[in-house]
Amino acid sequence: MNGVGPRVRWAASAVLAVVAIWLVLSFTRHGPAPVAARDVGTAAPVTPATGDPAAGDSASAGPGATASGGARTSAGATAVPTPGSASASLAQNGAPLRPDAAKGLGVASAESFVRFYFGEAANYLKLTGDGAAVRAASSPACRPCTEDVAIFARTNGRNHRLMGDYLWKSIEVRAVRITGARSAAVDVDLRRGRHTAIEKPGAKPTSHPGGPASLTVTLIAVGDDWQMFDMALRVGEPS
Amino acid sequence: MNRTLAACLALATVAALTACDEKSTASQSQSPTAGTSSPTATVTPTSTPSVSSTIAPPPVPPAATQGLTVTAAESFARFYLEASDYLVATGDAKLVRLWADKSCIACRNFANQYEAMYRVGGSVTGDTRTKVLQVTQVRLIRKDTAAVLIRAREGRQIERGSPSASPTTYAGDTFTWDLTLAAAGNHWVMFEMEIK
Repeated sequence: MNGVGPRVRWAASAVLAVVAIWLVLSFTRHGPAPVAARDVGTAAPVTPATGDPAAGDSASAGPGATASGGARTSAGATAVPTPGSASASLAQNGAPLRPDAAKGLGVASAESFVRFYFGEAANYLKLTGDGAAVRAASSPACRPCTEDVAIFARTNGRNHRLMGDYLWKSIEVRAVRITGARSAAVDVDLRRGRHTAIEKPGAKPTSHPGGPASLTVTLIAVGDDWQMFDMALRVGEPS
Repeated sequence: MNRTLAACLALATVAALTACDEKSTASQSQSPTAGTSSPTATVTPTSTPSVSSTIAPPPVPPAATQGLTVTAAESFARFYLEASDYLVATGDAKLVRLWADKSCIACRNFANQYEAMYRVGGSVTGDTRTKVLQVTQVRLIRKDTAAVLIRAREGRQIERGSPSASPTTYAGDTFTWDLTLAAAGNHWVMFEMEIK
């Protein structure tokens, strides 16, 4: 800083100090930097992006863009984008397990199972590409289930090919009918927001407006628990 | 199905149909929650008529009855059938009245009938507990109504209209309850009961 006066040096020091304090505070507030995304389709737990309430609303992000909420680490690695802080624990805790309330073959367990299937297993699949939870909760004969596992193994939040408000939310079970000795039909209303999918590497992102959907799903008894057997869209946007 | 209860429900159905006809001319879209009194606490009966010493205590609504979900509807329907069983076994209609919508004619007739019977010294003995075989359907209708179908079995019961009346034996039966629930705040209440 030859040729620079003491006031300028003091001002420069002050600016550096402010920046340093800001960095320290920023680190403290947000916690450690997110871990970089790993291979697509693995069940490795990931640290989600920090709780930015606006995260996931950037449906218009281009193929090379980081989805909103997908902060960059100091090393330049990109964190897994999540559509909101509500999904943080979903990604963080690994493949979700069926809760106790969703065990058994009654009406209440059917409701709880369907909430679990869409709210946790299917959302975890979309978020990470890991289909373990969906497979565990589905009959091998459930074609929509196996198709979803294949689709979202390729296009998911972890590899940034699924962006925006793509998770199922507002899941409301409207009816449960025991249709046979070991089967049930469940009407469920749910919704997704606007989101973008890059279905093939290098392809242009496809925008989906999202919105409400009404499904009728068929459950079958496998052992003492329900499993997803089929699902049919009654109203709304197909997956 | 106990004959007295069947008679109550038959009367209730006729009355309900009449009421429905009357209502339909006045208002086609009246909410079932109209006139609902919201139970806020579990009530312990204060004057239980003296009956068999093997009577179970009054049922308590389980935590699962809270909310307006499918699960809460199922739980509430099961609880209300237990409250009905308690009424049949004791003549104490507090729970049946407390957890019913004011429009529930079947609930009111049911309560009146058994209260009257026990008041004059009548009783029902035997297997007064409804055995729920299967909850076959729970359906939410709009935001404020739920329909519940329950396949149930009742055991053998002996009914006396008064201490001097000759006993009437009911052999028991399997039947389906068609229950309609109405939302009252954050829980369900009974709105209509029919036997299919």
